Amino acid sequence: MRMGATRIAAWLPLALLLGAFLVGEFHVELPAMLFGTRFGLDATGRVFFAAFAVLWLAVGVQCQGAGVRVTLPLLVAAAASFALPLAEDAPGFYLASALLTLATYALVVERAPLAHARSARVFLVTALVGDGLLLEALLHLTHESDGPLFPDLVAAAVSDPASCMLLFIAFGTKAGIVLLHVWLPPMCVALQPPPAALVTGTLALAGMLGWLRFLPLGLADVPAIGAAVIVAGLAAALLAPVVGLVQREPKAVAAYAVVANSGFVTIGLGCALMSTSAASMLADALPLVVVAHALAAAALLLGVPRLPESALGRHAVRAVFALVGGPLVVGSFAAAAASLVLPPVALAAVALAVFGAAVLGGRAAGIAVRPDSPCSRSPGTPVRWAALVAVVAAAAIAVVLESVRASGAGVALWTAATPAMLGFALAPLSAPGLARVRAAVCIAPGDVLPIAERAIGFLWPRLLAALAWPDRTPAPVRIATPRLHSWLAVAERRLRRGRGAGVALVVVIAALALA
Amino acid sequence: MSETVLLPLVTVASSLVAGLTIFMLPEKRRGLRSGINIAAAVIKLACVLWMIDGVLAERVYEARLPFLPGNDLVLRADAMSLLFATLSAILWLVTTFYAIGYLEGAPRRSRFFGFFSLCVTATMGIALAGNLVTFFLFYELLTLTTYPLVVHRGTEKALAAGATYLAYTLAGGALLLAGVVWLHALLGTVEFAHGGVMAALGPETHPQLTAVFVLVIAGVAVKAAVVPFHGWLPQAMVAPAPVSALLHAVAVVKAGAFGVVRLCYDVFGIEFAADLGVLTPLAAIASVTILWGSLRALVQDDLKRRLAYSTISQVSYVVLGVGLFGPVGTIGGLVHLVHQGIMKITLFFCAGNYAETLGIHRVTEMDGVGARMPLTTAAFTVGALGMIGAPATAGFVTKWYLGLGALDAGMGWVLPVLLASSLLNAAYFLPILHRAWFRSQAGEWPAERIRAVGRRETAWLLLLPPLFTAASVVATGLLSGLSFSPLGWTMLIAAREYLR
Amino acid sequence: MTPADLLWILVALPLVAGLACVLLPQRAGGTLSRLVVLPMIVLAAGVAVAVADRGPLAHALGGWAPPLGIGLRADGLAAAMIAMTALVCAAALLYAEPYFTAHRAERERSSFRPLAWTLWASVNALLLSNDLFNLYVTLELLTLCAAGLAALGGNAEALAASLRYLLAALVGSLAFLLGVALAYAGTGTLALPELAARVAADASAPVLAAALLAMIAGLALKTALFPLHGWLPPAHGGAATPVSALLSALVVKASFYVLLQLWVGPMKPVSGDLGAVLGALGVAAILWGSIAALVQAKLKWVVAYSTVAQVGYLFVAFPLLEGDSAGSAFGGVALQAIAHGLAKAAMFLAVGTLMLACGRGEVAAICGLAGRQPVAVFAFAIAGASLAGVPPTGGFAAKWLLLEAAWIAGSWHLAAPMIVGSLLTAAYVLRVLRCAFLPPANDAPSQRVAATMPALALVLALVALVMGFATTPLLSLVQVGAGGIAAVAVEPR
Repeated sequence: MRMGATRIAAWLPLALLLGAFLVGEFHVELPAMLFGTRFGLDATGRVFFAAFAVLWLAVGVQCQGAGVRVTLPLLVAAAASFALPLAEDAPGFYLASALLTLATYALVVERAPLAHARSARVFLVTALVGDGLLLEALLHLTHESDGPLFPDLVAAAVSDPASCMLLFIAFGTKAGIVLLHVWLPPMCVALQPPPAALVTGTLALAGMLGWLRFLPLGLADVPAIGAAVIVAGLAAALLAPVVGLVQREPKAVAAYAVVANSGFVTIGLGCALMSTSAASMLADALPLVVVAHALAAAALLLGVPRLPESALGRHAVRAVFALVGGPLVVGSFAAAAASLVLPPVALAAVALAVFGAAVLGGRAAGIAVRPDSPCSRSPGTPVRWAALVAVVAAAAIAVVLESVRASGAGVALWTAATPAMLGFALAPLSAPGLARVRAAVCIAPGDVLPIAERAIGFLWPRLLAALAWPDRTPAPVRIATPRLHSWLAVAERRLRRGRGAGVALVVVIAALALA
Repeated sequence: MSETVLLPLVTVASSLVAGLTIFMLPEKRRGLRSGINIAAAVIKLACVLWMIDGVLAERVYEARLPFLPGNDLVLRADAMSLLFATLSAILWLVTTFYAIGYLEGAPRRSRFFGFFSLCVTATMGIALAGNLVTFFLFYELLTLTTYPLVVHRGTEKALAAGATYLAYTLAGGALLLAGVVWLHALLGTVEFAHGGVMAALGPETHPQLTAVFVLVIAGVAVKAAVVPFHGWLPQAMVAPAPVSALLHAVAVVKAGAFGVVRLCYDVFGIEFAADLGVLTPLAAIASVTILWGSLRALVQDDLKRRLAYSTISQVSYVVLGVGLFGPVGTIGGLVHLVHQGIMKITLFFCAGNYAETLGIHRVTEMDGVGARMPLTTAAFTVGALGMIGAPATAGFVTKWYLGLGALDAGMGWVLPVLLASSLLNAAYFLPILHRAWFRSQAGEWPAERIRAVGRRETAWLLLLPPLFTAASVVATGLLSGLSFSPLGWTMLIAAREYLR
Repeated sequence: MTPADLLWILVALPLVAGLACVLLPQRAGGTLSRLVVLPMIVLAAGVAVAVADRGPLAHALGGWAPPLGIGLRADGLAAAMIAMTALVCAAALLYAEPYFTAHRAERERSSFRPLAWTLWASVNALLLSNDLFNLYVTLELLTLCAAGLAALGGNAEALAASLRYLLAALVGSLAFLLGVALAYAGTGTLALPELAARVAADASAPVLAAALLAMIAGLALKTALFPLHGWLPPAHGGAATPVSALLSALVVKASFYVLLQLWVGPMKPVSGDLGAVLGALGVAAILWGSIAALVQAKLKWVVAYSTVAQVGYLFVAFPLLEGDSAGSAFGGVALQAIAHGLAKAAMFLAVGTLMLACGRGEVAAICGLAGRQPVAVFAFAIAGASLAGVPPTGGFAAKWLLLEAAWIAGSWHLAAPMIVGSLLTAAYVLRVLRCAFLPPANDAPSQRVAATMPALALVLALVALVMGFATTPLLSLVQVGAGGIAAVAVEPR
C-alpha cells in the first residue's frame, strides 16, 4: 500500500499540471471556512499552479524518505503550495503561506544533519518574521479595503505605502531579497540537492506570487516603493556574485547564483511599480520570469543526474547549466524593464551586474560538471531533469521574446546578452585568480549572518538573564509577625488587669464626655 | 415551574447536588462516583444546549430567588452568558474524564471530586448571573471552592501556594465588594442589561464612576491574572494537572476575564465606558500583561510554569478586546474566551500526560518525547501553534479580529504588540516542539509510570481528552465561518450589544 | 388566648425548667431539658410569626398596667432575637449532655443545667422588658448566671477568669444603674414609652446626657467593646464549650440589645456626637480583635477574639443610625447580631468537638481532623464564612447592609475597616481550616465523639447560611415597631 501511495504521489502533480491547462476559470465560495473564503483560478494563478506542478513533478518525488516524519511535511507543503495560487482573499492566502512555511521548516529540520541545525533555525526565524510582517500588512489592507478579495486589497494598497513596503519585505524573505537572503546559502549547504532545490524553488515561487498578487502593479505609480525595490534588487544582483565567487562550498556558489538572479527579477518588479505604462508592458512577462527563475534555481541546485563521459557532452551540459543558472534570461528581462523607466546609468549598472552574475553562473556550471562535486550524480532520473530543463528553456524563450517586444531588440540583447556572453567566457579564465582570492578571503555562506548571529548571541542571553529572576513567592502580607504577637500579648495582659481596665474605662468615659 | 425558570436552576444545581453527594461517598466507590460525575456533566451540557436553542429564538430564561433587599439572586441566560456556559460545560465534561484517569489510585478522591463539582457550580453561576450581586456571590464561592483543589496534594509547597492564591483572590474580592456596594448605593440595583445601566446617572457622578470602574475591574482582574495581580498563577501550578487545566481554561482565569467583559458591556456599557475614557488605559494594561507574560515565559524551565505565564499573556487578549471599542474588537476578545480555553486545556492535558506517563516536568527533559508519545505531542503541537496564531487554528481567528478591531478603534499601536506577542509565543513554544520532535531521547525517562502497549502510548482516559480538544482547536480555526462556531455565536453577541 | 399572653411563658417556662433541674436527679433533669427545648423553640417561632403578622405584642403581667406593673413588649427585633436565643440555647443544652459525659464531669453538668435555663429565662426577660428597671434587673440576673457558668471550667484559670468577668460585669451594671438613676431623676419615669416622650420634650438637660453616658459606659463594658474587652478572651476561652457558646452568642448580645434599644428609642435626642466615638471604638475593635485572633495558639481563644472583632461591627453602626443611612444601618446591625449569634455558637460547638477529638486545645493539634471529623470542620467552615461575610450567608447580608449604610452616609473611614476586617476574619478562619487539612501527625490520639455534637454545630451553621436567603422577611420583621427608623428599601429604587 505504501508503494501505491508513493506512486500516486509521484504522478499526481502530472494530473494537476494537466488540470491547470485544461480547466477553465472558476471560483468556489466556502462560507464555512475561515471567515468565508473564496478559491479560484485566474490567469496568474494558472501559470503558478502549473509551475508548482512541474516543480513537484520533477523534484518532489526525489525528496521522499522512509517514515511519516518526511512524508507528512512533504504532503502538507505540497497541499499548501497548490492551494496558494488558488487563494483569492487574504486569509486563505495567509493560511496557505503559513502552512507552507511550517511544513518546509519541518522538512528542512528533518533532512538537515545535526551539524547544520543552525541553518534550519535561521530559516525559521526569518520565515516567522516574514509571516508576522505579512499578517500586519494584510490586516492593514483588509481594514482599508472595501472587500475581502484581491482586487479590493490591491486598490487599498495604492494609498498605503507602508503596507506595500511591509508586503515587499515579507514576501522577500521567501524570495530571497538582499539582507533577507541569509537563510538561503546555509540551507543549501546543509541539505542534499533535491530538498534544497525543492525548498528554494517552492519558496521563490510562493514569495514572488505574493508580490504579484498584492503589490499595486499597473494601478498607479508608486515611484517611492518602486525605487526602493529597484535599489534592493540591484544590490542583490551586484553583491551576490562578489560574495558567491569567494565561496568554497560548491553548493553555496549555486545558492548565491540564485540570489543574484532573484535580484534581477526584483529589478524588473521595481520598474513595473515605478510607472503604469511600464507595468502594462511588463505585465505578461512578469509571471513567466518568476516561473523561469524559480524553476531554473531548482534545476541549478538539483545538479546533473548523470554526467556524460565525453568531454563534448560535459561541455554541452556546462553550457546548459550556464544558460539555466546564468543571468541571460532574467538579465535580459531586467535590462528591458530598466530601459523603460530608468536613466542610462542604471542600465550600465544592470549590465555590470549581468557580467558579474554570468561569471558566477559559469563557475557554478563548472562546479556542477566536475566529477567529484556533490551537485553531480544527484538521485533522480534524467528524464525528470531533462523535462525540468525543457520547461525552463520554454519559459526562458517566452521571456526573452517578451522583453524584446517590450523594449526593442537592441537594448535588451545588447545590455544583457553581451555581458552575459563575456562573463561565461571569462569564467574559466578567471578561475586561478579567483582561487588565490578564495584562499585569502573567507566569507561564510550567509555573509552578514554571522554578524547578526553575534549580535543576537550577545543580546539574547542578557535578556533572558534579566527576565530570569526566581519566582519569589509573593507572600501575603505578614501580619502575624512574632514581634506583633508579643506586643499584642503584653497589651492584652495590661488591659485585662484591673488597673489597665480601669484606665481604659476612664478613657472611654472621657471620650464620650467630650463628644 | 416552567422551563424558562427550571433550566438555569438545573444547570447550576446539577453539579451542586453531584458535589454534595460525592462528599458523602466512601473513598472506594469509584464507579458510583465516576457515574455521578459524568451524569451531572452530561445533564449540565444538555441544559446548556437547550438554552442555546432558546436564546437563538429570543426566549428569555430567568430564575429568581429572594436574597438581599432590593436585590434578588438572578440566573439569566443570554447570549453572552451562554458563550461562557457552553465552554464550561463542554470542557468540564472532558476534564471529568481526564481527571478520572489522572487520579487513578490517588488518595482522597471523594474530596477532590466533590470540590471539583462545586467549582464548576460556581463557574456556571458566574456565567449565568443576571445581576451584580449574584455575580459577586458566585465569584467568592469560586475562590473558596478552588482553594481545596489547589492544596489537594497537601505538601508544604501546595499549602504555601494555596495561601498565596487565597490572599490574592480574597483581596480582589474585597475590592470588588467595595465597588459593588458603591454601585448599589448609587443605582439601587444593578441588573445586567445590554448596553449598560448607567444611562440614568448624570455627568456629576462621572468621577465617582471612574473610581468604581477602577475598583471593580481591579477586583476581577486579580482572577484574570492581569499584571500586577498575576503573582498567584505560577504558584498555583503545584496543583494536579486536571486542576491546572480547569483553573486556566475554564474556571478561575476565565471567570475573571468574563467578569471584565460583563462589567464593561452589561454594567457600564461599552459606549459609556468609552466616554469615561477608561478603555484606552485598559487596553494599555492588557498590552503590558500580554508582553510581560510572554517575556517571563521565555525563561521558565518547568513546563507548567511556562504554560502559566503563557496563560497570563493570553487571557489579556480578552481584556484587550474589551478595550478596543467597536464590534470587531469585541468579537476578537469574546471569541478568545473560548479559543484560549480549548487551546490552553489541550496544552495542560498534554503536560499532565507527560508528567503522569513519563515523569516529565521540565522542558529540558522533553527531548525525543515525540517518538514515545506521538499523539500527545501532536495535540501539544496543535495547541502550541494555536497560541502562536498559526492559521488553521483557533488562535489565528482571534488575532485577525483583534488586529482589525485595533485598526477600527484607531489604536494602531496594538498591532506591533500582537506581532511581538506572536513572535514571543513562537520563541518559547517552538523550542519545545523542536525538542520533542527533532531530538532524540537523552537517557532514561525520569519516571516511566505507564508503559506503552503497542500503539497505545498512555491510558485512554488520558489520551482521548487532549485529542478531542486539539481537534476542536483545528475545527474552530478552520470552520469558523459556520454560524454555530464560537465566532458565529460571538458575532451574534456583538450584534445584540452594539445594535440596540 | 392571644399570642401576647404567651409572652410570659417565654420567661416562666425556662425558669421552671431550671428549678426542676435543681430538684430532680441527674437523668431526669437531662430528660426534662431535652423535652422542654422543643416547646420553647416552637413558642419562640410562634411569637416571631405573630409579631410579623400583627405588629408589636404587649402584655401586662398579672393584669397590672405599667408604670405600676411590669409590662412585657415584643417588637420585631426582640422577636427575632428571641428566636435566635431559642436556637442557641437549645443547641447548647443538647450539646451539653454528651459533652459533660465525655469529660466525665457530672457535677458540672448538674450545675450547668439550672444555670443555663435561668440564663435563657433572663435573656428572654431582657428582650421583653419595657422599662429601665426591668432591664437592669434582668441584666444583673444574666450576669450572675453567666459568671456562674463561666466558673464551671473547674481549673484555676477558669475561676480567675470568671471572677474577673464578674467584677467587670458588676462595674458595668453599677454604671448602668447610675445611668438609670440619673434618667429617673431627670424625667421622673422608668417606663420606656414615657421616657421617650419626656426626653423628647427636654433633650438638652445635662442630667440626661450624664445618664446616657453612664449607661453607654456600663453597657460597653458588658459588651466587651475595645478597649474594655480584656475580660472576655479568658472567660470565653477558658469556659466549657457550651458555656462559651452561650456567653459569646447571647450574653454580650443582651447588653448590646439594651444599648441599641436606648439609642434608637428613648435616648435618641440625647445621643448627639457620641455615635462617632462608638464608631471609632468599633473600628478599633474590628482591627484589634481580628489581628489578635490571627496570632492565638489556642483554638477557643481564636474564637473569643473573633467575638471581640465582631462586636466591633455592631458598634460601627452607631454613627450610621441617623439620616438616610439609618434604615440600612439598623437592618444591618440587627442581622449582624442574629447571624453572629448563630455563627459564633456554631463555631464554639465545632471547636469543642475538635478539641475533644484530639484531646488538646491548640490550633496546631488539629492536624488531620478534616478526615476524621468532617462534619465539625464543615460546620466551622460555614460558620467562619458567615463571620467573614462570604455570600450567601447571613453575615454577608449584614455586612452588605452596613456597607451600604456607610456609603450612603459617605463614611469611608467606617467602610474600609469593615472590608479589611472581613479579610482578616477570612485569614484566621483559614488558618484553622488549613491546620485541619494538614496530614495527621502519627501519634495523634483520636477520641470517638458522639455524633450529636458536630451535628448540632452544623445545624446552627446551616441556619446562619440559610438566613442569607431569608433576608427580606427578617428585615421586615425587625422593622416592626422599630420607632422612627426609616424602613430599608425592599423594592428596587
